Order: sequence, then structure tokens, then C-alpha cells
Amino acid sequence: MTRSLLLTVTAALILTSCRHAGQHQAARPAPDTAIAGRLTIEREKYYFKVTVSQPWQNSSGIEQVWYLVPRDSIIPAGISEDHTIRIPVRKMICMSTTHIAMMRALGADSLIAGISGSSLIYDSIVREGLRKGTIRDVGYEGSLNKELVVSLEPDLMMAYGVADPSTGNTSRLSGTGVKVFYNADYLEEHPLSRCEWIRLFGLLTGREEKADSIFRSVSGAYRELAARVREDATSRPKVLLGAPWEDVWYVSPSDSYIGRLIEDAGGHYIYSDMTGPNSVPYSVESVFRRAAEADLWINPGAAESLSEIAAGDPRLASLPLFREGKVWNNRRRVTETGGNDYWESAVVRPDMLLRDLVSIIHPELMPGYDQFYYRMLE
Amino acid sequence: MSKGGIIAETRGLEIGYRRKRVFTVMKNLSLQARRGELVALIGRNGTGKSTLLRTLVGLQPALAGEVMLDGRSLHDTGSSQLPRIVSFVSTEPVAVRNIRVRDVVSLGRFPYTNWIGAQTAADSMAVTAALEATGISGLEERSIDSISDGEKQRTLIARSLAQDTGLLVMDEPTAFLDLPSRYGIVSLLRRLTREKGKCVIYSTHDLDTAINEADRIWLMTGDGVSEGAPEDLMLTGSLARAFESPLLSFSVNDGTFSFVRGRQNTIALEGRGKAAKLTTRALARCGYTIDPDAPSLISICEKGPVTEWKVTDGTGERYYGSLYDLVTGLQDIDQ
Amino acid sequence: MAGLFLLMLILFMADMLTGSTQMAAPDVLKALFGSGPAGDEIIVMQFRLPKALTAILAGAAMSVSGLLMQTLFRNPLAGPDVMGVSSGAGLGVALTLLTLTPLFTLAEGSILSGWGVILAAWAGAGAVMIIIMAVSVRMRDIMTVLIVGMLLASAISAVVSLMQYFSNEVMLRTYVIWTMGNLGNISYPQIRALALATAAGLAIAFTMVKPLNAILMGETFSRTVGVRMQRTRIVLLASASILAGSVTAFCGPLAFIGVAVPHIARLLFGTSDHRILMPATALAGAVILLLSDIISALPGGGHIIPVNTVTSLIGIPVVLWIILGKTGLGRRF
Repeated sequence: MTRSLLLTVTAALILTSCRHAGQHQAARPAPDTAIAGRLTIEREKYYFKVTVSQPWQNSSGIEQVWYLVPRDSIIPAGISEDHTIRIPVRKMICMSTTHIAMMRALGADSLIAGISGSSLIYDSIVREGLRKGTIRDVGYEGSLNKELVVSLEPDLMMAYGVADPSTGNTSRLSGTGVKVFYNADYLEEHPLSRCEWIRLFGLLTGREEKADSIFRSVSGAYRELAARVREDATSRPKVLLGAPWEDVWYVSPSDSYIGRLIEDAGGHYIYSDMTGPNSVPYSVESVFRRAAEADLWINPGAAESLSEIAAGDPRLASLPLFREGKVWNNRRRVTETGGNDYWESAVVRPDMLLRDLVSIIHPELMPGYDQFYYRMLE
Repeated sequence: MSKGGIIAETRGLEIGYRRKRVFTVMKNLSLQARRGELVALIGRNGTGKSTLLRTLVGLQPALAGEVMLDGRSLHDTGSSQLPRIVSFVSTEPVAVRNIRVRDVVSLGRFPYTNWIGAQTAADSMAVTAALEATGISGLEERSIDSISDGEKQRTLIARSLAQDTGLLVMDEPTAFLDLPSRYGIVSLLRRLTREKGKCVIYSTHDLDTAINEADRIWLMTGDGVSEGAPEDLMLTGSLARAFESPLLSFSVNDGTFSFVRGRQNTIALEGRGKAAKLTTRALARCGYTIDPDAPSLISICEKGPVTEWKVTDGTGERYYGSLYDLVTGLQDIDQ
Repeated sequence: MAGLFLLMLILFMADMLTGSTQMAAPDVLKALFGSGPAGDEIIVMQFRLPKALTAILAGAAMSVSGLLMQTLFRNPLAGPDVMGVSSGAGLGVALTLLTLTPLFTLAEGSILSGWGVILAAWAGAGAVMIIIMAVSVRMRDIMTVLIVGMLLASAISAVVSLMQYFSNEVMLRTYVIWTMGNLGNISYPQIRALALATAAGLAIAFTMVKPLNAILMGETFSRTVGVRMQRTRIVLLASASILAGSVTAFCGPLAFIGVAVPHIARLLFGTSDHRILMPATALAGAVILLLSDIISALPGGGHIIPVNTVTSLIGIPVVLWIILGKTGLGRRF
């Protein structure tokens, strides 16, 4: 067991460094090689060993191991029941909308017993389930309803960790017998890495093949488009991201999820020189300078119209890109309670995201394309 | 404004507090004070002297009855008129820094100056006059936290003087002061009534100055307030009754209080003048009364500047060089 | 006093010259007078000038508000933050930012009407002010009013903490940023509104210098010389709340300025006479806040220190020095 652990760690390390080295190449290894840096799936004789590395922020060196054992098999010797999940699961609680999206993509939404934050969910079937009471909202953070979680008798609670669980609220479930899986998909920095986590859901729900086929087609489409952009695009328009609040602009690092998407879509993020794990607070004045040179603005916070942006900070209205109306936001598919599909199904369809962004950044390559997640602001 | 006319009067006044329930301190008070009069309010602690004074000037509402100031009911006097009729000096110590004495006194002109406190020539003159009357002209540029307690008190009195009211009311103006200052304040108040025709009502614990200087006494006891000239109250024995206790007795002759002495020994004394008087005092303190038929004798011998005491008794003759030694020696023998 | 005014002008210029981006002094001046490149002009006229103006207004308003409260309550540690004005504004903002429903759109992006948060803050501060004034009318003892104010501030903080507990990261961060205070994001119409409120508050405050001097000597003293305590209290509280409430609405809660600056002014001018102390406090407040703004841009590279951090770093030593120093708090003013 120690040997396979070592192998996994080494593999993870190599793959992680490969990822960094291959930052500027879109050519990826063959599709069935895992690229998700934090997820490692190993097939043993009749069960699977799943390793999640760095399951939450600032957790380098930490790993969590789970054993997915089919219901009719015995648990291998030396493996504790606490780290075992019987597959296929019959009931799952999904704490994040990305988990819901993956379940829906696999057609396994009937297995969802509970979710968190009902107002932020986009999917209509899940919302219908909430209305009918077949799916329950277990709350989040301080309002996590422990009793409800336990009463739902889930085989698994798919959660995500922000910090060490002992400081959070999910740790309160230890001792109740509910198994909590810390899903690190949101920490993956490449869109395809995030998407690959669907394989985990495939295993859990007994729909491996479907998961694999989804991932292969999505990643194939993504890479194909990225390659085409690399070849055919003749310019790299400059892109501005985010929006200020009061006098502070939290600037995303360039090696973030959205940073890579822009890169793959043939754009140049104006803060491409900034890397790191977190967004950094800058003053609006300093961002303004770079923004004045940008050609496009993407993801300006929660704005739905140009006048909203101007109302929040009139100075932004004087930006050249603003005057030309080159502002797009990912709020095309939003429910009236604030649920945004961008944070839901887009995780499973990064190829559609890429298509949207390519059509925004290089409209000449995709003439007449109407975006799916994005909308131009007016 | 007739000289000597009544400037303050209470009719059936009831003073006290309204908290959850009404708490009466005293009722049915009918008192008077005239212009040019110095009125001393005396009484034991806790009888309600502060309450009476504060009710008199309108800082506290009366529970019943009326207060008349300068012929008008307090109730009917507007809040802009009242500070021109009566000024009040409370007993709170001054806890401010960095304000000049002159500025504090100038606040007395508050009812007369405009919104920013700009002073006319008349205002200035009133302030200067107040400073002179209280004898602190030399301090006017000093900061109020840099002067002595007596000077601070004078400053507050000057302020109330600058306010140019016919009636000045003061709550224990001589508290916290040393003896010469206390006398100084009372004599100042005396002058204000004589020279400026003000009526000054003040409360105090200094019985001797009150009895000697006040024109009228308001004597507050648990039963109410009696008023009259100091000698009236001595005559009726009210003063004695109010303050006497097993330890204290009042002597009508001197108008003073003295300690009740315990067991008394007797001793004979030979001598005259100041030395004899003071020897008698010292002996009285130690429990000796003078009796010419007593077995022991003290003779005072004055040899120029030096005084000597000779005690002759059963054991012989002894000489002492000071009253202290004399008295200590006598007490040693007694033991 | 003239020296202080000059210092304020110097710092005003200095604040314009420093900022998060590098700009040479001559370029700044050119931009000011309209003869520089358009990009520079935007930076100076849209970013630096409003910030500097806000610093002057907010500094003067908060400091005088603190002075009024310190004299009224005869307490050297009184100030708008203590009396719940800042907390009230914070509650208004929290209700806007931290509630889960459609107001999610206000978070992370601030792109809803720029006036939404401002009005909420004003309403919150105003509500607290009305409560305090109502209490003040019923209670004769001013100390009781002070304590009620402090308890109100604590109670509101507890409620806001509860709301924070139930909110998600995005909303939390947005709210927390608001509490750090900022002089930036204020448009010219908003500066006009702030200037109006500040002018009104300062004007009212200045008409009260005579009673303020009397109040220093004690409540009995002021009543006996003819100060109408009820009315005076209400006017002073109203003026202090207009000043502090407006600043907090536009800039978030600015820490320590209200408490520390009156003491700095007292020290500089060695007097407690409000005819001198009030304008001195206003100028000193403007100076300190301009200085804080300059310091907050110091790290360079576009990063900024939140303004409350700087004012706390300046204000706390001042308050400590006053308490522990020769002047001695026990002796009051």
C-alpha cells in the first residue's frame, strides 16, 4: 500500500509539473490519461482507489484516500469501513452546483437526496425536486442542518473544503456516520481538469462509460478548438476581467480557471504577469491604467447592463472598451433567485465555454455564433 | 427695585424627588430672603440643604407649593429670564483644563451676549468688575486648572457675580477650603450684600462664620426649616437643639460649640492675663476646672519673655517651661 | 491656525501627487490644468482629485462630530464609533449586502445603483440617531445616554455578526471591504452631497460654540447660566449625527478619527475654548485624513492599505499617549 501511495504521489507531482510546463501548449497527452491534478483514480482488482490531493486551500502534502467497493464485494483487508464507499451509491447529497451538473450530465439526478443553497441552483429538474420535496436543502456554513443530513441517510455527502475541515461546519458531521467526500474540483485550474472529475461521479453512480465518453468528447472538442485558434488567430486582443467594489478591485491571477480559458481562446489577459493562488486587491486607479488599453471586458461581476456598471463607478464609463460596448458577462442563463448556469453546467461543458469565449474574442473565427453562457451587455 | 425688598420667597414649598414614586424631603416650607441680606442655610448632613437650594433656583422641580423670585413665580419665569434673576454656584469641583479664568467668568455674561459670545463694552466691564470684587484680577490670564482651590472658588463666585443677578445662591461655597480662605469667602459674600445690594443665600457647615456674619439663618432640621437672626435662634434654643449631642454643647455666651468634657479634676490657678486664660483652656482640655480650694496649685511666673509654671502639690514643687510639659506632667501624676 | 491651513493645502497637493500608479509631479500638474494627455487627466481628475476632496470633507466632519460628542458627554473617549452611528450605518449596509435573496446581485461587483448602499447606511445611522435623541429627551443624566449609545452599538454589532455567520464568502468579503473604509469610490455628485451635509453640520455646530463652552464647566453650571439643555442636546446630537452619518454612508466607518483628532487639536492649541477648538479640529481632521490617504498608497505597485488601518495606526498611539501621558485622563480636559 505504501508503494502504490508513493507511486500516486510521484505521478501526481509529475503530472502537476507537466501541467505547468505545458502551460502554453494546447497539445495534451492522450485522452485517457488523467489530467486532473488533484484526482487520481486507480483501478484495483475489483475496486477503485481514489486519491484527492490537496483537498482544500493551502493543504499541500495532504491527501485523502477513498476506496470505492461494489456492494456485493467484500472490503479488502487492511481497509477501514470509514474510508470505503459502497458503489453504486443510492443517495447522495451534493453541496455544490458543479456536483449537481455532473450528476445531471450522467442522468443520475434521481440519486440526489439533498443540495445546499437552493436559490442558487439553475437546473430545472433539481428545482422541481426541491419544490416537490424529493430533494431537500441542507443549508450551508453556519446553517448546515446536521439532523436533516443524517435523516436523509445518504451514502455520501459530496462537499468541498475551503479550509481545514476542523474549522468548518462539515466536520460537525464526524461521528454521525455520514461519509463526507471533500471534492476539490473547484480548485483545479484548468477547465478540462475540472471537467475530468465527472469520472469520479461516473464511478460512484455506476455510469463509468458514460462519464468517460462525455469527458472524451468534451476534451476533444476543447482541444480541437484551441488548436484552431492557435493556428488561425492573427491577433491576441487584450482582455479585462472582474469589477471593482468600493475602491478595491480584486484581480484574478493569470493561472486561474478563467485565465486559462482566455488564453486558450486566443486572448491576452492584461494581468498575465500576475500569478498566484489568490485574487489580489488593487486600487481602481491602478487597474484603470491597464484597463484603458484593453479591447474587451469579460465577467464584470454581477452587472447585467452597461448602465449598472456606470452607476457603480462612473469612471469606468470612460474606458474605451466601454464606449464601444465591448463588455460581456456570463449571466445569460440566470434564474430569478440568482442561480447561474455558468457555475453549474459550464463546468461539465468547458468546450461550450471556450466556444463562447472564442466567438467573443475572435468573432472572425466564428461568425454568426450566438453565445450560450455569455451575453453582450447593453 | 426697593432696597431691602423681598427677592426670594417660598410658599408652602414641598421639595423632594420624583422617581418611581414621589419622595418628599420636606414640605410646607415658607421662607423669605431680602435684597442686601446674607442668608446662611445651615443644618446637619443629609437634611436636604442642596435639594432646597436647587429647587429654589429651578434646577429641580418643586413637588408642591410656590417659589417666588423677584416678585414672579418661578414657574412663570421664562428660561431666558431666569439666569438674569438668579445665579447658582454648585458644589461640584471644576474638572476642566485649558480655560482662562477670565473666560470662565465671562460665561456669566451668557444670558446677555449673542450667539458667538461676543462681548460688548458693558459685558467686559461687568467681567472686570466681578474679577476685582472677588480679588482675583491678577489671575485673569491664568488657566483655571493652575490656581488654588480657594482661587477657583472665587472664580466661580466671580462668574455668578458677572451674571449681574439680584440673587446669588451658593451650595457650600466654603467646602474644600482652608481656614483663611473660608473666612475670606464669607467676608466677600458679606461685602457683596453690603456694597452691591445683592442677596446671597448660601449653605455651609461653618457655624461660627454663619452665626457671626449672616443677617438671617435658615436652620434645617428633620422637622423643617426655622428662620430668623442668628441670635433669635440662639435665644429660642433651636440652634442648640439642632446640633447638640452627648459630645457637643452649645455656649450661648460665646455663640460657640465645645466638647462635653468627662470627669473633671480641680486645680487652683494663680496668674493673670493672656497666660492665665490660655492655661485655663489647656487645663480644660485635659479635664481640669479651676477651683481656688483645690489641693494642688499652679502658679504662673512671667519673667520677661519667658513664662514658667510652678506646680505645688502634696509631692512638692515642680517647674515646667511650656504648657505642653505642664499638662503632660499633670497627666503623668494622675496615672 | 494659519499654519494648519497651510499644512492642509500642502498635503492636499501631496495627496494629488501620490497615488497607486506612478505619475511624475509635472504630469500631475499638467493634467490638473487640462494640458496633459487624456489618460493622465482621467487619473488625476477622476481618481485623485475626488479622493483628496473626500479626505478633507470626511476628516473635518468626523473630527468635529467627535468633538461635539466629547464635550456633550464630557467624556474624552466619546466619538461617533462609540455612540453607534457607525454601527447603525453598518447595519443598514449589512441588510443590503448580507441577505441571501435577490440582493446577491449587489455582491461581488457593486454594480447596482451606486446610491443603494449609501442610502442604506444613511438610514441606519439616522435610525440610531433618532433612538439616541429619544433617549436623551427622557433621561436627564447624560451619562445614561452615553451608556445607551454604547450598548446600542454593541447590540447592532452582534446582529451584524449573526448575519455574517449565515452568509457566504462572496457577500462576506464585500461587507468586510466596506468596513475597511475607503475614500475612493465617490463620484462628483456624491461629493457634492457630502459637501452639503458637511457644510450644514459644521455650520450648525459652529452656532453652538457658546453653549459648548458652558457645557464644559458642567451640567449644573450650564443650566444656571441659561443654556437650554434639552434643546442644546438635541441640536448637538443632530449635528454630530449628520456629520458622522454622512461620512460613514459614503466612506464606510472611518476608525479613530472622531476620537483622536479633537485631542490632537487641544494639544496643538492648548485651549478648550470651542471658538478656537472647533475650526482647529476641522482642519486637523482634514490634515490627518489626507496624510492617511497618502500613507495608504505607499506600498506602491498598485496595492493599497485600507484607510482604516492607517487611521488606527495613527489614532491608537495618540489616544494611548493622552491616557498615559502627563496630561492624564483622570484630569479630563
